[in-house]
Amino acid sequence: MTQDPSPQEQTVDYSDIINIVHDLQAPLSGVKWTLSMLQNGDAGMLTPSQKELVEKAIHGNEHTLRLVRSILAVSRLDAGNAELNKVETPILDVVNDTIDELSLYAREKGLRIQLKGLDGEGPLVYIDADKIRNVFENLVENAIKYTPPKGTIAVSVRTNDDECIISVEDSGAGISKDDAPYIFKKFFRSNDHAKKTERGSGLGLYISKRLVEAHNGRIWFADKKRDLGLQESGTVFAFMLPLNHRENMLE
Amino acid sequence: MNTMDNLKGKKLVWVEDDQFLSGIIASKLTNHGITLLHASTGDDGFAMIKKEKPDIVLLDLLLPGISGFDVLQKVKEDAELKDIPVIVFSNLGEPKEIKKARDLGAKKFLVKAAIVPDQIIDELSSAL
Repeated sequence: MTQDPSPQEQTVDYSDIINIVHDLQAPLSGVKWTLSMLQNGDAGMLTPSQKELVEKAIHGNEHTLRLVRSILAVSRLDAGNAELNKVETPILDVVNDTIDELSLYAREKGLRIQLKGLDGEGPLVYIDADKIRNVFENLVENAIKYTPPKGTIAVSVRTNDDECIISVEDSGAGISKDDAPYIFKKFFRSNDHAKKTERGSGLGLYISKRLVEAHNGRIWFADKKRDLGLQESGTVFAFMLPLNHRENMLE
Repeated sequence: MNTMDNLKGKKLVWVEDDQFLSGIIASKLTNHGITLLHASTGDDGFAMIKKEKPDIVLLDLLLPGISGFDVLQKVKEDAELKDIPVIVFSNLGEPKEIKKARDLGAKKFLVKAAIVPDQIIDELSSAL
């Protein structure tokens, strides 16, 4: 985190913006409810193409809602009064729900999301599930965004004695040496032409890092060619959550 | 679609200052046979609960006038009203707010942005 706010940041009253972001939740909730009622046929049955459009609108609206909640969470972290609503959560629930939701978006691009690793139920982690879900979504959404059509995205969940590691591997262009130091910085956007054409706030990975660290975890990435010595291009993003519950509960 | 028979003929007071939100679900609630009464400030909300003695209350927290927390406290301190189930329905949802609502006697804390109308119906049905 840089200590010197840029001149632009100084002219903006941060708390006003946060209040506005908070207020965005009401209209977004209203849109969510309306779309849900349309989807469920409360206003009459929909044709398949109407249904598809409604699903897309729901996806976009959910994404916006999560972004709003993440901005609020990070603003509270920045202000030092973040509270995480931590409960014992099966990590695979978070992972599977997210993959289910994003696979429509992936399929549209001709991408497949594979889940590798754990059989069975997987570990219980002591997390704020909404926030960790947001982290995982950011990683999968980035993978979808930056992987060319027909590519594969592989998600894996692994555990050892005291850690659970979730990784998202894509077959995109990878991360250039120039970009690598800035990947988790606030508002960072790559200058690579191909990546520039994708929409993004430059907040997703910054928020993800803050949220993972608030859980005493770590987040990192590796470029498949440069860091892992692999033939094919791509990136692996991963984050670790501690499994030591007692330690977590003490802080 | 839900068929929640225990909602039929029940009276609901919904304290919510955002008419856009309550308007969306109004028809859905009435389709389930619920009588929906709407108040848009904390003061009006409490007065309406006191007068109507509804079967259940949906209560927003950030309201003009007295807050939802104040309304909840007054309801739970009122011998006539204290057994009416109150579901807090807000976009606040930090652990300290949830705890405060629970401590004051809320039956449930629902985050508006996290649920859809069918779930609201389900929650009302199970709280009754």
